[in-house]
Amino acid sequence: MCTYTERLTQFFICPNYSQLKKSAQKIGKHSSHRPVISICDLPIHDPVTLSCASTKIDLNGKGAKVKFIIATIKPFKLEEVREALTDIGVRGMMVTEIKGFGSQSGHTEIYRGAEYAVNFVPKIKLEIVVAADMADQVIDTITKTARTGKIGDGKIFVLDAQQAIRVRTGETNGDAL
Amino acid sequence: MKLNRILLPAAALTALPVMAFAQDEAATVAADEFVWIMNSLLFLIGGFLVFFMAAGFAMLEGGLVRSKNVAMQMTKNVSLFSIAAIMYWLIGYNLMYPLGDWAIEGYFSGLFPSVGVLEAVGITLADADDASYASTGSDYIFQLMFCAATASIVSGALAERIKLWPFLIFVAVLTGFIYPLTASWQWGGGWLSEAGFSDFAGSTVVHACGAAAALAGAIVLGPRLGKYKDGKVNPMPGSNLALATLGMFILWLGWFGFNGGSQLAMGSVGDIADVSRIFSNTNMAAASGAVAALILTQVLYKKVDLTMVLNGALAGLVSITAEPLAPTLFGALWIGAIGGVIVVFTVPLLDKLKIDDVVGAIPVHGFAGVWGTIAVIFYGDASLGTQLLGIVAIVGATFVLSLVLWFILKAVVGIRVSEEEEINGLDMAELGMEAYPEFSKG
Repeated sequence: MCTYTERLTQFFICPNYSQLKKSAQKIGKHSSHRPVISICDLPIHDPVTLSCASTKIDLNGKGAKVKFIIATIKPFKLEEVREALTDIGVRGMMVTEIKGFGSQSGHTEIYRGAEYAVNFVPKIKLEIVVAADMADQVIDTITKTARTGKIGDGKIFVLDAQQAIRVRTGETNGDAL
Repeated sequence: MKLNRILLPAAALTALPVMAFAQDEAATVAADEFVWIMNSLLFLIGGFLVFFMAAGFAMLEGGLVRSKNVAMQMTKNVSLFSIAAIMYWLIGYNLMYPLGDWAIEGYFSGLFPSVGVLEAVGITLADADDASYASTGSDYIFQLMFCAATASIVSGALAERIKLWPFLIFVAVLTGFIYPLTASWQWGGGWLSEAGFSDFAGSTVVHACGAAAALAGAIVLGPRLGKYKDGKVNPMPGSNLALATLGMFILWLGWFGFNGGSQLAMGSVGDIADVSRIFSNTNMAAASGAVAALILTQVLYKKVDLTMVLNGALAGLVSITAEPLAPTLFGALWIGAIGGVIVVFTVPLLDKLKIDDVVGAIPVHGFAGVWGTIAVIFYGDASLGTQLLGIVAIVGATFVLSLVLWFILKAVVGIRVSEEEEINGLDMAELGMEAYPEFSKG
């Protein structure tokens, strides 16, 4: 048993009480249909005591299992891949501009008559977390849209994500996406 | 067009002086005054155009060095110009123009050392230093700009690794002594001009001279860290090719003053017609140099190299500088184009010799300068023998004097920054400020 304030402080790392209270009210407002945080439908008093087990935010995770997909693609393909993924229902992704090399091992360019190796080739890294049953479809879509058939099209790595949590609500896994 | 409207009445007055009434005498310009005024005007216009080449060099070099050295390169450019301006007054001007007063006939000015002195305020033509030529101030400022241009050539070649103060000491000696000395042999009426050497605006006197000083410096200084590793050339792309391109265009503009002003006279139809020829030829040579490099890099490397195209345009300009008047436009085209070709082939050649010239100053001003000086024989009035003599004399003397000076500087104060400072960039190491402080290190 812990106080609502304690739990929220752990979760949000709120710097002061008024902010904390706002966050708590927000949770209540948005999550009436989410059983895992149904506590928030209770009127909030100061201090709020969480008095039953079902009010605890479950960090072990409920909801569908999720997969973590890392894909490196050619930078000019980013827009196309993003559109294709949103079309099949992917609701978020993280994008980073990266440099790296794979089996292609870079390439050569000429500057003022001197050939030089570009050891690290610019690429875009996508990080996408999706429900496990959707992973194949996502991989398929990336493979199809990012492919040019030439060397350097990129790689896709798939990991089992242990847990996904939505910061605002505390929803987990499939529900957090 | 505006100039035309002013000139026409003035020309009419001078052509028909008898028509002037006595009471209009004050407003009438006598023929000799007209010539003196127009000559001075040419020097002044040429002078500020060549002055702006300092900005061109600064932008070209700033664009071709890496971002960690840009602020330092700007510092060197403003400092070298300012030091040149003072040194040329202090010693250079009278060393370069002995006006027949030689200490060693044809080789060393008898006016050394003495400062440049202008004419008095509000003189009449009778009081002018040279009533048949131009005002001393206009000649002084015009020639000073050439001197500063010589030093600008050096700063680009030695960028990204040379210490600021030893470089500036070298500039002081180059602009106060070395350049004026070798230039006096030709433009001061010395032994080279007596021998029949022909260099209209300074393919050799200015450009190859600057390149020789740069070459000596580059040899003594050594290449940038990591430039040549395991027998391979490791390119270090410049920070801003837009700035470099702007610099090239500014230099191109300034060159109209450089070559056009070197007609040294604008007081007659013949002279202004010649200045017009020079402008046209100068422009053509720059264009053909650029196009030659454009096509050649596409053919050789499968991709156009912009930095080579910029260098190609400049090489075209340097090539036509020794004789911008006599060639036809077609002549200017092929002379400039060969300049562009020379650059594309000599930039990698210097790399093979492990001479690290950051902006291509030695190929552009040196090799193309030598080519331009030789090319005088095709249209101008010169023999191959005397042209080669002039090249060897000026390039040789500048190279040897510079080499000695660089070795002395290296031994006494050291000319190169430490390894760590070079890697961190001269901006932070020597200035404690950066050209682009808000950009992340790349």
